[in-house]
Amino acid sequence: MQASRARLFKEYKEVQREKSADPDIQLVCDDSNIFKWTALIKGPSETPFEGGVFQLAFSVPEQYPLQPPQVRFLTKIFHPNVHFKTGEICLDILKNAWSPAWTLQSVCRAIIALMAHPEPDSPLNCDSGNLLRSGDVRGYQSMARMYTRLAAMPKKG
Amino acid sequence: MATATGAEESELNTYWCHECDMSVALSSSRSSPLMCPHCRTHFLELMDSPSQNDAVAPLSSLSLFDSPFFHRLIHHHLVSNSNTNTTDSPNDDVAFEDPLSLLSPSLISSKTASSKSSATAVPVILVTSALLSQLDPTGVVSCAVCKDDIEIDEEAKQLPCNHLYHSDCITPWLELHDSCPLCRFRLSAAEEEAEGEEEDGFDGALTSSEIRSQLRAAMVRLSELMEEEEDDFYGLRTTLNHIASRHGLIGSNGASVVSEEGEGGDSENFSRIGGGNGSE
Repeated sequence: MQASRARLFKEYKEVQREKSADPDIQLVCDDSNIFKWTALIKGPSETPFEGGVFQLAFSVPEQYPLQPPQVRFLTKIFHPNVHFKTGEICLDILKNAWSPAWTLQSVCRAIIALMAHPEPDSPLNCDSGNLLRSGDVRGYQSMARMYTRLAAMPKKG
Repeated sequence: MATATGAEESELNTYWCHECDMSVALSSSRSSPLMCPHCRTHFLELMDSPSQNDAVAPLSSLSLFDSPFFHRLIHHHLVSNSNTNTTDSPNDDVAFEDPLSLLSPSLISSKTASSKSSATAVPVILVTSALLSQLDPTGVVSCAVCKDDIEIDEEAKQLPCNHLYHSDCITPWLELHDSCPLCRFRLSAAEEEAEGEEEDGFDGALTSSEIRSQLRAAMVRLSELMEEEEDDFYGLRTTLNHIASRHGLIGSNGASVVSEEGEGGDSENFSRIGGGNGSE
């Protein structure tokens, strides 16, 4: 408990210090609870998520960093490895490949990388995975772009 | 104890008694309907012949100890022992407390000593300035678990991959995992290597005859334990011999060994167990 608190505080200070280091990630700690964080990540360029801003919710266990944080998308996203309804993310480093060397910041980077490089063979969103697995890249990109526009972009007047 | 003594070689079959939870050797021609000699019930199931398939199958490392028969045997013994605690002498209780621990330690160690040992295997060191500057030109090394800098004279652990952590930070991780958080270096891999250098590597290049001789030694030790009992009360000796014959440890002529009894029979069993290695 104490170790996780100290480690999260360390990460908090690091985030404050390096605010401009990674302009694609904006990591914010809950005002009253250091175990709850949210992040805003920019959809990577040259992907159907480009131009969108996606919100992630972090729930950090007390055993952190021995155990991974729980992360899910709050913003709707059409991606093979993200559950369309719950926002759950299928990513090895959030499960069995976790290592305490990861930070909340680097987890965000890993999620951005996952957005750019989906793994259709372990899908949480079967519709999205099947489009890619059947080779329909255009169909996948079209669907993903539509949901990016619907859910991840500020409404234009 | 009527375990089909001296039955005809042709008709001796092995049955699993679901009531006693162990195997019994019965000759099907003699007693009909079939009855377990121990509990005198008929809840018997014919087991596959010990001499046919198993003797031919190659004996992989530790396959005997993965065998459900062995585990049932151990389980059965533990259960019956705890039931009869009051009548047994205290020595017997001690002797049978943990049958697995009686086996050759090297046989079990490779299975049980995985991550737990790697946590303790890495020694705790006191950080020196020389070590820090050796790891980093600036002399600043941070612990990847807590992200704090590692200071001189702090207790630390350096993994075989050279990565340095606070001792208190890395130990709980190593108790659960077998890898370096930074480079995923597997600690058990290093241990195996080290063991290999020391004692010819139990994991890698163990020939089947070596495995057999180790298993045989384990069998003999178990049998010796059972000799202390007055008679083959739990049918353990029979079961043990059966397991041994199933795995070809005492040759293909398992059926004749299974049914032997009495003082003379015991010594002969041992000699068979000990001397049956000519075939390999």
